[in-house]
Amino acid sequence: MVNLENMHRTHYQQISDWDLGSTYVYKNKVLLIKSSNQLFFYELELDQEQLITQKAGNSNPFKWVKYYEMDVVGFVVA
Amino acid sequence: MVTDTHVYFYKFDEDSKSLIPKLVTTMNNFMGCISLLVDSNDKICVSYKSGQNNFTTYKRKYDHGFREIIDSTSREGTCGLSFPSKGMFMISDDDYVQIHGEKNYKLINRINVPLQQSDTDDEIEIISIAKSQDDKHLGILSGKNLIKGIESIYSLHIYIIHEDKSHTLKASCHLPESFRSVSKSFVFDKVNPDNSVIFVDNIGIKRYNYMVQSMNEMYKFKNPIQSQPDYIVFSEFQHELILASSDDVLWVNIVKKNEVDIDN
Repeated sequence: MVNLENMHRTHYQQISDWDLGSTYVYKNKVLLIKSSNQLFFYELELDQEQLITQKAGNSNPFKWVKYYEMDVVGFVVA
Repeated sequence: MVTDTHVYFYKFDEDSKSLIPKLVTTMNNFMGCISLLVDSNDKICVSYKSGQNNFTTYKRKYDHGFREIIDSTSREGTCGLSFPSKGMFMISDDDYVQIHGEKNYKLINRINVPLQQSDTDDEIEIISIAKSQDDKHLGILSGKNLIKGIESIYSLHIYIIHEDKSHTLKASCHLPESFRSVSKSFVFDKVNPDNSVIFVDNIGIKRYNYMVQSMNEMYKFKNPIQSQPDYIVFSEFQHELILASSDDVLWVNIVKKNEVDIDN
């Protein structure tokens, strides 16, 4: 859930070129994304390059990185 | 994951750094649902089927109640004692007392009791254990188990049970010859649990100060019983007691010095 009063903390990242389905965040640690026949798991990683640029005064040092995927159909229920 | 035929339950291993989901259980999707919500206690479930204009609720019907062996050693002749205020219970064996957690039955601690060496073929072992009413003290009575269900009492060990379930030996008393025939049932003195326990034999009731190892007679029975008492139950304030042996049952009011020989 995005806190509208902290909108400056949001950032944009294109994590896939595919059309994705329902998306869930588990305990602010894991991003679950459902496609038609797969389930992707993303976690936040520290981007060293971005960290350097952040010191210069811009961008977010974290990015979502896919670490696991499962071949499943059906619906995700959290 | 809810599919047309099955519902798969996955769980993240919080202890692991990898956060790889693990399949915990699978059930048939007999509801034909596309969405399923299960409460945190796994008792109630709400499902939604595509095109349905309401929700369906389910309540768990069966608990499997799996049994798990926590200890397979023989416990013949041992004693058990519950400490509800500390969330634990104790089981005694020949020369030690095990402390187990009340919820998961896991072994928390073990009290090794320094018993006397026996000078005969009958080993000295733990006969009974008792706790003070405030759950702070544990008393361990040891002696010999003789034939015909007779116990010969030799020593008393008092431990302090701390809040963190650890223990400290407070007193270790080798009881004199006059205590050999006291009952294995004993209680901590309600007024002075920090220094006294109460023993009963076939003649009367004795208060024993385990700190200075002295004894004084509280009450002498008008109707002495024939054999060593097996069971003793005191009232809440220890003004009355009922005791039983294989031959006699006696009710005693210590304050008013009344007695009723119940089996007569």
